[in-house]
Amino acid sequence: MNLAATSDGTLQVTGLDRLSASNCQDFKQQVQPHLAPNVRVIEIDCTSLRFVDSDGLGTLIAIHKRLTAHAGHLRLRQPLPVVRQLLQMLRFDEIFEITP
Amino acid sequence: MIPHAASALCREYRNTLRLEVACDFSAVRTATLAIRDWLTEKGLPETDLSAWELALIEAANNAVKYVTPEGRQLPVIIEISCGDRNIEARITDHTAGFDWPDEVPLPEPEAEDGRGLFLIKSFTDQVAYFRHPCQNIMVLRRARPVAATEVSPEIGQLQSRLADAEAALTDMTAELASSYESLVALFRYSSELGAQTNVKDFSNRLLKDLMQIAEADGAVLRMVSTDGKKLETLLVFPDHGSLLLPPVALAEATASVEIGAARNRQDIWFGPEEPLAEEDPLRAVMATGSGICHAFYVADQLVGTATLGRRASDRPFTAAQVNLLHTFIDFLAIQIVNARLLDERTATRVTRRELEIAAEIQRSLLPAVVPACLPFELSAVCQSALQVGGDFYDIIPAGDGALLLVIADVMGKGVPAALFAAVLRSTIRSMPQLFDQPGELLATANRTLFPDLSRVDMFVTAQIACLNPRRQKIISASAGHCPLLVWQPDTPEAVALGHAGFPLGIEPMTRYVQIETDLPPSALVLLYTDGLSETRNATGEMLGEKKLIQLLAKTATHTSDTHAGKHYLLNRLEDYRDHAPLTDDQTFILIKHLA
Repeated sequence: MNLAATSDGTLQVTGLDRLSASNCQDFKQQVQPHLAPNVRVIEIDCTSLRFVDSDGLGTLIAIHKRLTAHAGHLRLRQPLPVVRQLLQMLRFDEIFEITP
Repeated sequence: MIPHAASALCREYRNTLRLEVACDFSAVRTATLAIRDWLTEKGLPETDLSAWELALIEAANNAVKYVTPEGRQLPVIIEISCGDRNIEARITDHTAGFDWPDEVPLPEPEAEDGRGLFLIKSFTDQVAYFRHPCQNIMVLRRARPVAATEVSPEIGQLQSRLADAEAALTDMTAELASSYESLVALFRYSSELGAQTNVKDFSNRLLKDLMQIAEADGAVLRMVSTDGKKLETLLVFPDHGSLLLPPVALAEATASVEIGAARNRQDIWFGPEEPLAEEDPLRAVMATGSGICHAFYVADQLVGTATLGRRASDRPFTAAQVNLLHTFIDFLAIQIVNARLLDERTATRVTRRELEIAAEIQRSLLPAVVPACLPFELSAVCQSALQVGGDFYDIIPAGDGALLLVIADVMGKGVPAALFAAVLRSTIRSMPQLFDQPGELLATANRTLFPDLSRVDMFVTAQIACLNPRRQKIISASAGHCPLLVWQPDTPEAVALGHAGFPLGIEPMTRYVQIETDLPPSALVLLYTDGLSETRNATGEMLGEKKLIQLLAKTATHTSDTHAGKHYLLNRLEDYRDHAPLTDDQTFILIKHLA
């Protein structure tokens, strides 16, 4: 997994292939240091994310809440159909920005 | 092909895959990937693979998250069966368990947790959760999609489907028959619960029924020995005789799966891939095939182990058959506990009867009537706090109209105390030549009884007095006993008389001082045991010798004879203890000069 900050206040996360109980704590620990007020958006590249479980989804919600505290938000870019359907089923498309 | 899964023990039989996985998130994640690969080989489409992957990981993650501290060392067991129409998974956890809710609503979008059960329910068709004291099983079922090629089936495919349907029907019939047999057996056992049943007979019938219903051909039942240190064989099927299975010590390092199951409180499976160790005693019965060993407990105490085996088959027991094993053995455990309680009750009844007999003997040792000794009048009482106490008294004609009065308290209570009371009575009665010398009588009795008393670390306190009506005197001697209380009309209070030597049984060569006391008309004398002076009131305060002396003075002035005096004393003592039951024996002899 890679993290890269852009000049417009976006933290880009790439290379995430799964987000579940077995790795969500590591994921949170890597992202947390970047949750500064100048980071408004965290954009997760979901093109390789093929599995998310309820603990992984809980982690996304926790990060989203931290971002909204200073008017930011979480963006999920191009999730695979299996993940997209899961997000829609759980009505996460109402709170995250999900790009086609 | 059995897939590889790190940290997991895999076992595959026909269309069933069983994995025993370490209780951590990474291990269960690896295991679900292995199952996904296995289901891929079975031809499941991607949608179903994803659904099973998610449902299984949620169930298994719950087993890791909520595991009890003692369950953390035990594996999470995932078993999945791939049928033609359905796929069923069973996840065994060692958590405290929970009740599956009637409704599983979707949590609010911003909630950080609580979606696990919702996802399990959403991606399966049926969910059931079975709770058990040792472990819980979640059963998930989801229909297998119909293959697209079956839209226009060929004859061969139709035949294949027909064969599948017949197999399914056979399985269902077998399951129904098994359920019916189980129910009938359980109802029969229920009717026996609480009845006086021989445990071995009951276990024999139960184990045979269990073997038949669970399709087993071997079984071993072991019970914890009475000292709790080893497992002893109660039953072996087929019956090769118990000698083939020696007891196994619970504390020793051993390769026995029975000891392993008992120590870890976990079912242990064995079979071709995990055979019994060469030195495992079970190999005498189950050297081949497969089996499962279950340890059973009542009130957190190990009761025994039950092992079922299929000696001629590698086919493992199904989850339903394992549940059956647990249920039947639970019944057995209850019956064993009932039998133990019945045994204890019988033993208590026997002990009570023995005490009744001893009490009858002790009562027979007391004088049937108190001899006349004019101008003195006597009354006596002996009340035991237990059925058989350590107090006794004796009144023996001593010649020339005199009486020998004996009052004694044997250390302790119950049958041993009563036996020594009887021996002391006989010893004293065998020395009539010393009746007028109480001090010498005590010294001789002490030398006679010392070897027996000291051998069992017991002792006796005794007061012996010779009441001489002609000389109107009482001569007394005490072996560590309460003093003689004497009330005389010309003194305001009674006085305590006596010079107590060692109790009998302490020092073999003890000498006892004799005291002579005049008993003028109206004098009242009390010989008593410490049960009187140590009577306690509701706040625990002891009556004491001083208050007993005052009570004797009141008895003298309030009553005219010893019969009335005896009841007056007993009533005041009962008032003092606020009518509570006796906690110590109460024995006394009351003597009054009537003239």
